[in-house]
Amino acid sequence: MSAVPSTVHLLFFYFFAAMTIASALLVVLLRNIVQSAFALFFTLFGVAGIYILLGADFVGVTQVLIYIGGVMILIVFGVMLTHNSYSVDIFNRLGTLVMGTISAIVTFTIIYYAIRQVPWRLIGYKASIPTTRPIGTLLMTDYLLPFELASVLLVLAMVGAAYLIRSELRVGKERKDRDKRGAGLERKDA
Amino acid sequence: MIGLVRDIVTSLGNAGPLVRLLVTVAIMLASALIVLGIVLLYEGFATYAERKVAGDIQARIGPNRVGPYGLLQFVADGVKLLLKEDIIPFYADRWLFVLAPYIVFTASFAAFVPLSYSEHVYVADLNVGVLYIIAISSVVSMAILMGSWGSNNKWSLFGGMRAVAQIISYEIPIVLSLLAAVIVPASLDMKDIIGCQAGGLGIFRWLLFNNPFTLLAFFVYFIAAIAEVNRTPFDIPEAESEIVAGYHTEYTGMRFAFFFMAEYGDMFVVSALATTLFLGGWQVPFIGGLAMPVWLRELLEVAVFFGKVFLLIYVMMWIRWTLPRLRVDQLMDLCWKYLTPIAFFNLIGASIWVLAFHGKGVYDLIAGLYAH
Repeated sequence: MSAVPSTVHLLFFYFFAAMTIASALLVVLLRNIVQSAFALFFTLFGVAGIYILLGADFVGVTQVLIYIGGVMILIVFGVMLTHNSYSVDIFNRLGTLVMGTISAIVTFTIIYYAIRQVPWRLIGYKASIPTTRPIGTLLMTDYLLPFELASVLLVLAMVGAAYLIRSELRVGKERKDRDKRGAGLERKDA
Repeated sequence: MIGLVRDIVTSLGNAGPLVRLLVTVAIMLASALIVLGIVLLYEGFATYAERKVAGDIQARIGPNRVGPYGLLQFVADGVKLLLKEDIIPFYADRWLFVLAPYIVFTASFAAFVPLSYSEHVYVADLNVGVLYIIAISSVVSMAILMGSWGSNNKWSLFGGMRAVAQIISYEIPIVLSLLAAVIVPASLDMKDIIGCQAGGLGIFRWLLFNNPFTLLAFFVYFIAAIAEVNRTPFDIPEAESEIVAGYHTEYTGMRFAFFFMAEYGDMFVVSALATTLFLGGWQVPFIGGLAMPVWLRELLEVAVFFGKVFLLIYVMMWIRWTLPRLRVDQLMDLCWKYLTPIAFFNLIGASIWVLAFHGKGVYDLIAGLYAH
């Protein structure tokens, strides 16, 4: 394959890039917090499209599976369960606007210079090379420790969540028992 | 189809870049439209079949007024849905309400892309086909949540929450049981998966019969898949007796039809995935090894593929009209206490089998005994 992207590639790239940027702007600018959570869906989807255009089909599909099927749903649930999520208006005060602009410019400058510093190696367009097997092999050999550490972290988070729920149940049960005892005592007194 | 695009574009030779671009886009659009047409036709007949099966099981006749045997009923239904008033509730979140049905339908339609209908009839040959279908169907749950929240109706929201909880839970046994099958061909590509099931009279090399664990995985997958597409006995997201109609309570006319069509589209996709992974895909049983012209073979393969898929869809309809609905807690019990542990056991068992017998199935092992 050639090192020069075909017109179709470019067309799709601009489509996904525009989708990512426009929806990211919506996430930040929309006043309704639930709507901005749903706008994030299009941002994540656009990023997945760009991954696939880069030839990383496995990463792109995983992005859809993990971020849209998992993280997105969690975020939306979290937003929906927030108190008053219907009426909450995110109001951008002038102070936050100034601070936000400054931090955005600083972040952009850092990223821009970082990208300029890296000597990029162009490998051309090889969209049809299977990537699943090399990724699996690398995860089981060179990157086994980070991979296992990440799974340990996930297990810890899961156990922690389960423990929190259990302790809430326990407290609730104790309170109920106490109430029951209290009610019994009252009856005895009467 | 991508191969076809590449061939045609290279055959254009020195044509200008604009011509190449237009031809490529035209072929892509044409292939998408062909699949869309077939999908819509299938969905029309599926609704007819559903009502006929329901009638049969309940000792009724079913639709028999429009066209011969009521076959054109779906055309009448389609026209009716198109002509109905399009109501958007006053307090609905307009954007989310309008957008949700399109995303649901697009995601369900996009899952048809990597399916392989015969050796040469497919839209795209993806390296990660199986994973792609799982990923793109998880978009459906997001869109359901979008529509149910946008409706601004408590029954919708209840239905949406139930749907998402159910889809996310049942995705785990689905992925685990698919994994138990995928490790035998060691590929996520539909072509490789079907290719490894060739031979053995076209039946005995099916991954279903490869080892006891894949046999069990097929049933775990199929039960979980019925829950994934929200059909009875797992249709608590739209339980009429509890929450009106669930997440599509507020939808009317064509917007409702999009949800409806997405359900039938999903039925096809999960059945096609089961066919591809466990039932040999388009491999023709018994006479697959005979010499025959290419066009006849392709035709036969497509027919066999659709036959297997429709058989599974028929089983889903049969189950729907036979079994009562599960309660919410029973539904979660089934997923987390039965299907998920069984699926984990399957995955470990299938891995050990593949390691112990170098990926050989039961049929090959028995055939190997008699080879000496």
